[in-house]
Amino acid sequence: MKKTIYLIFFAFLLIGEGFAQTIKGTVLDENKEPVIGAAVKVLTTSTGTTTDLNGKFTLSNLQPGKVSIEISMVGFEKLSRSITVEAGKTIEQRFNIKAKENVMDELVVVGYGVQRRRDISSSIVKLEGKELMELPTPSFENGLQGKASGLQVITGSGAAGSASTVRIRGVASVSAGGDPLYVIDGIPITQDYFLNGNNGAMNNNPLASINPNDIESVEVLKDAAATGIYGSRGSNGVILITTKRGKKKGYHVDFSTRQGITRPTALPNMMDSKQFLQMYEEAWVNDGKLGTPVLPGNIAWEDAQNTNTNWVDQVIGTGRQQSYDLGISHAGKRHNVYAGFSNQNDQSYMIGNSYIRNAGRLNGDLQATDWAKISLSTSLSEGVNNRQSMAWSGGLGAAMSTALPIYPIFHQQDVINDAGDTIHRAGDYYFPSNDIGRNPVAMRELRDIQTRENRSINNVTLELKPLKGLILTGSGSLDYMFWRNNEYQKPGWDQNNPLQSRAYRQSFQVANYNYNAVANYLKTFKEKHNFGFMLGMEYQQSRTDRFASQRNEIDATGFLDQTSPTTISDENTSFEEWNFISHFGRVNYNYKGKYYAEVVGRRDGSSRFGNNNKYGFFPSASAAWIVSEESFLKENKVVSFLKIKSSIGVNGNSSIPPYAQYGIFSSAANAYNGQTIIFPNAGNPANPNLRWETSRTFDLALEYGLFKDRISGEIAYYNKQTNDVLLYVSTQLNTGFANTWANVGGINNRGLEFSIKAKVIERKFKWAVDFNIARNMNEVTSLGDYTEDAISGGTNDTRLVVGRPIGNNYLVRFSRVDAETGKPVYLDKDGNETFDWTPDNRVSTGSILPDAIGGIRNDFKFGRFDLTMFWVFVLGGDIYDSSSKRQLGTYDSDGWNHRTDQFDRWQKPGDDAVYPLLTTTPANYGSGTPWINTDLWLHDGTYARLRTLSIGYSFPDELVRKAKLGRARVSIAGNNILTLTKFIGLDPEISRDFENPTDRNMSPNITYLTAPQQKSYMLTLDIGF
Amino acid sequence: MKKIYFGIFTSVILGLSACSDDFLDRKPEATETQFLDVDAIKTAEDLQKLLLSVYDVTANTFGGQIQNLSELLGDNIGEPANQNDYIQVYLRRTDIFNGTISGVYRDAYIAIYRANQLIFKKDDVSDITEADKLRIEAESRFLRAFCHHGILRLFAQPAGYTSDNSHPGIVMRMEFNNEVGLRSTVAECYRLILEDLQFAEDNLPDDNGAYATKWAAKAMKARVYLDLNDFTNAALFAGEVINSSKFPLLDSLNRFTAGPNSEQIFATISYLGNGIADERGDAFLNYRSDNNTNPTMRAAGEFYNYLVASGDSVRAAQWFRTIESGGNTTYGVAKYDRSFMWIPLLHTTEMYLTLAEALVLGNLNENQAQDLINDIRVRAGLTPTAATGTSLLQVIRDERRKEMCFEGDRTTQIKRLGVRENIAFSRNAPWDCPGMVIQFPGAENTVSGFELNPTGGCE
Repeated sequence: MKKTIYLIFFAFLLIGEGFAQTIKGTVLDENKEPVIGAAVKVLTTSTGTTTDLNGKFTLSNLQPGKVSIEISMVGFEKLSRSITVEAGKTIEQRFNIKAKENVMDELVVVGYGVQRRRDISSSIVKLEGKELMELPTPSFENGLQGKASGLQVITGSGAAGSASTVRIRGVASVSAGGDPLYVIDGIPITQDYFLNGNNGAMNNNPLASINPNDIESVEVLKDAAATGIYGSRGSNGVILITTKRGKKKGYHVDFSTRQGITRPTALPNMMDSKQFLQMYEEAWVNDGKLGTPVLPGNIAWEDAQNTNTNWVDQVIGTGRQQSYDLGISHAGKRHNVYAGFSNQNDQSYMIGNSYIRNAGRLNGDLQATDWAKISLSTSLSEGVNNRQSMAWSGGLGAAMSTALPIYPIFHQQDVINDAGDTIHRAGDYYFPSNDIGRNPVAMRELRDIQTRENRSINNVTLELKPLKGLILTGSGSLDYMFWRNNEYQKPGWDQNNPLQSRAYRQSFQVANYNYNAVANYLKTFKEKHNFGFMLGMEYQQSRTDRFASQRNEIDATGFLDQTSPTTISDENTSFEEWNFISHFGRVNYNYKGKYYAEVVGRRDGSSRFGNNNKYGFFPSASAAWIVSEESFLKENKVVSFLKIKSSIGVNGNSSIPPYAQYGIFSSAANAYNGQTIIFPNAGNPANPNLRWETSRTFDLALEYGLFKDRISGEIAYYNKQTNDVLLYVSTQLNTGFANTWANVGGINNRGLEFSIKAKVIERKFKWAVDFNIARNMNEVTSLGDYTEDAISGGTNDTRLVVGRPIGNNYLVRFSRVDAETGKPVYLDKDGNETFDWTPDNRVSTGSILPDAIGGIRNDFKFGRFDLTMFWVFVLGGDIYDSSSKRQLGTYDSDGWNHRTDQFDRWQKPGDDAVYPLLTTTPANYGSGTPWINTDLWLHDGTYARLRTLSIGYSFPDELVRKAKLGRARVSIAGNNILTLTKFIGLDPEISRDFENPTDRNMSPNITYLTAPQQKSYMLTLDIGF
Repeated sequence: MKKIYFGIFTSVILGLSACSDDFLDRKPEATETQFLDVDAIKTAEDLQKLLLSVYDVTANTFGGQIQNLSELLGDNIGEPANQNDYIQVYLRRTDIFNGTISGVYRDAYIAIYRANQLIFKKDDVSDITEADKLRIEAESRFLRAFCHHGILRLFAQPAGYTSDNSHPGIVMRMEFNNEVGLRSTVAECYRLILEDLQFAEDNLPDDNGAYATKWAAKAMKARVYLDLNDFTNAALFAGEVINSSKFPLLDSLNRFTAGPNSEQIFATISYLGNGIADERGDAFLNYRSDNNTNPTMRAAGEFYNYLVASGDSVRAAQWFRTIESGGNTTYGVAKYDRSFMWIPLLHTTEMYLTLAEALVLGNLNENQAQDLINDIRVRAGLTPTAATGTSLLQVIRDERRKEMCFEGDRTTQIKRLGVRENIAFSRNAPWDCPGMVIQFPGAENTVSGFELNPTGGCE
């Protein structure tokens, strides 16, 4: 049949040579592939032809003059063009047609499978991998902020490699992890933020070693039905990540590079030496003290006046970012391969802090026979983080606190003690009060800390289609991480032994194995009833091995040079394991593609719980009605798509430490009187009755498309009740333990989400808008028999209070500064004014939850230029600036520097000031301690931030072809370049370091010497062929 | 071909299903240093090791921290430097957040918990003699009483604050469980403490190496009875200890030696040797001023001047040193100028002072009281006194203040004076103002029904 057509065409060509006016054309799609069998019609004469195997056609016997041609093909937009044909001439043209963008036919990854968007009756948002690349941070989850309604991402800080806190539809857990489950290519990965505890104010980021450039798409699963298939671990939502595979036929190479600079979004306004001394003296005099003020750090007043060190300038510089990403893919008829290599080098604005990642990936699929397919994914990455002290542990944190401007960086002269010994030479670093933490420059120069993480995520999947409609998949995967922390303290670090240097090393590895086997069966009855059945089982095993930590006293220089005479090694190696078994099933039904229903059931067993409670059963059900398929809406001009969907379900959470149920004893040699002792660990007693934390969720949503899906979007409501919340409760100390694990209480999350995408203008100039906004309301519904003090938010005074959201601030109210005496006036529990600050007067205050969060994105396209503007915003919600109670508080011997905001203080009777009179003792502020928590430090955290502004230019086809490329684009972008906020602290987008999961869930609105976010300017070049 | 794939698939599934329930049973690996609590106590040796851990934590609690907290409330100490938690105690404005207080409280109850485990689990062990079992129980009960009493002195108003001691005391943990703990009355607290001490006195050995003996129990009873202002019993037990001649008074003023000395009736042990450097009493290092120009704890100027004015030159020279800084003079403490001290928690000097005061107040034997106090005075280079009656009482109280300065005793004595004479001051604060009682750590308030202390009121 094909041969005949060929002959006819040939004939035409031969004959056609003789005719005069001719149009020869080639029809190509967006991937520059020829479109075969497209209809080519000449509108005026109603004649036409079709394109051949090469997408070519010839129209002959045309009248000279204007000819209107229309090209159409199923699944593509119609293309019309008007061509002027001169007498006796032949014209050759190329026609590029675009695939019809039917959003509803888009394929979406769901748990253990794939569905078309229109068939989904649950709540899932899909994001393209390249959207994540717009924000140049090493860790991909930072790029999720503002992209999906109900998904809240708070980036940790501007430090290179820092982690974000990600929450889907609010916080439903307290001591169990509150982060969503991350699944990469079906592998639930290791995602523990506390593998190394607080680690000097920088929690581990388990997502940092994932290369954003590998990501093809991200699906955010929000409700019980979507997450139901993940059962026990889906109660905080699921984020599915799919990595790239070779899709397009033939060989393709993509290369992109990004070069940029970074700066902090804001600089702290600390006082300089003159200002500090002036304020200090005023405090001294206010207190009635006589003589020259005694300064912190043993500095004499005269020396202080001659010293002015700007510590912030010493630790902050301009960062440099560069990345190189290469992707090679090849697709043939029966196989496809994708290989990717990336290098990302992020020198942050904190001098000496950087994160460098080298990563490689290889994905391949082989259709071995018609009914058997093998898929392989493997990735290897190494992330090296050169860390600097931050927050409470020094560095920029010290520059905002204990590093005073009156301290010099170096000794100016030799210091000789009474015995005539030279204890410091001129040029040695100056350590005020022998505390190296107060000299950030010394801390940086005298110590190297480097964390190195090697990660490999691997998966092999076998897919069999032995019968029509039956798909069997079996897969095995390994997520392996090896983490090592090296610290080298140079000579001079240890004041007592200035010639001594030391090296420390800690390391651990995590091996996470996952096996699953799933059977899917699709069957249609009577062409109307479409069923899908799924049955599966899954096993997961994770083991963490911690190795002996080492410490070497070395006199040689050289960081990892192990030529050390003495090695003191802490022999304790230990391991931790947890295992997980699951059996699950799902049934989908739809009737003529109009009515949908789905039922899911999952039974999970975890080693984390005692024998009575190992297993949990988690069912869910959902239904959807595509109203637009009904006869009364099918031909509607306005409404092109309307779907109502609803779901209910039960999920669980078991994300507690693997051995939480056990009570542990330790033994220690040489512990007392040289003898060995044994003792119960005072952390927590055994609790064999620990069980699953369960959430019941109800979800109702409306998806719409108007004007042929030119406008589309979704409105959703959800209500999630979590019970048996896993809490690490503070017990009374008189029990002999500080905490215990228990299932206590209830939390409720409910909210509304709204999103809309619109192609506002669709001509030569294009403008598309993507807007989403969500509001979450969170409430603690019960605390069982415990009081509010039982659950503490780590080092922050946040509380669980029935009727208020999780992590409620619990503060004494600040009323005013007394105009007569200048002292601060507080309110007691009943609202009466008092000069005394006592914790008895703390009340629940502030609203840590924002009223709404969201993002708005505008994409403009004109010819070869494109412009993107993406704003993220948070409306309402308070931030507690915990460090300001010292930065705007007393001038005591502990020695903190203060912010220039404090200039607005009371000085004489009758003054109306924001801050009380300056003083050196907290007794004048009505307290025994300078750490005075009041709502004076609680601020509105509303902000809108221009997350990305980018302008791109796609090079013209001719230039591109000349360079033998397929496409080329260059763009410049600014990130976080503009922030609109009334917050007087450093940055309204913060999340501080945490001690443990409870702290992480309960204190999201606290900032304490947290480094500001980074703003950056990038130049990106993207080429492909 | 199909069959092979099928075969692989099914065998994988079958293989996975073969995993048994053991798969979900993951326990921490038992190593030499870590094991499950259910496996911990199997032999007599295990019991002894657990007992040593009670001594260990008691040594941490009483290695200066409890003593410092008590001194800070009193009038021996000047304003501390650079330690916000201590400053809060000094200002008598303690709150539930104070980390130092919470650490001390916690350690004491950890010791008590472990002691309870010994008392109630000793029968689980089979290879132990009855005598050893009794000894272990006696030592545990002694330590339990010792720790309870240390906490009682700090966290509750003294005995006598109400006529029947029905005012709130502390939580007495006398069982081995994790139940909620509520405060008992002071009367009940003392009753239980004395019950424990009685058992200890009856069953502790005469000699027990470096650990508790029946003399320690007797000395402790003397201390507790003096707190209760029960002079007959205080005199009885203090007298028994002194008359045993096992603990002669030292010739030197320094009983804080790096090693044993004759005045130690019960002491915490610092161990130096065999490559081990285990220093206890490190909270006393806060006073150390020989190698530190800016010690945290210093003597109050008024106290030092009063000492000097009363002619007490030997103690002034041996136990104090002046510190000049920027034109200001403060008074450092030299009493603890050494490392690896053994802290004498119950010592002969205290027995002498207790006996002397009990003899006078109980109208028992003033002459013997005079002899006792003169032994102390002569050792300190002062002339013997011939005072009698209230004057003798004043001398005894003065000697106690000076001799036991910075050992965590002064505040209790101020409060005893307040109870007896209705008036006593620590610096400018009355003995019974709420701030003179330390506030409980916030963790105690995690269950409803616990009564926190009132605060403030001391200015």
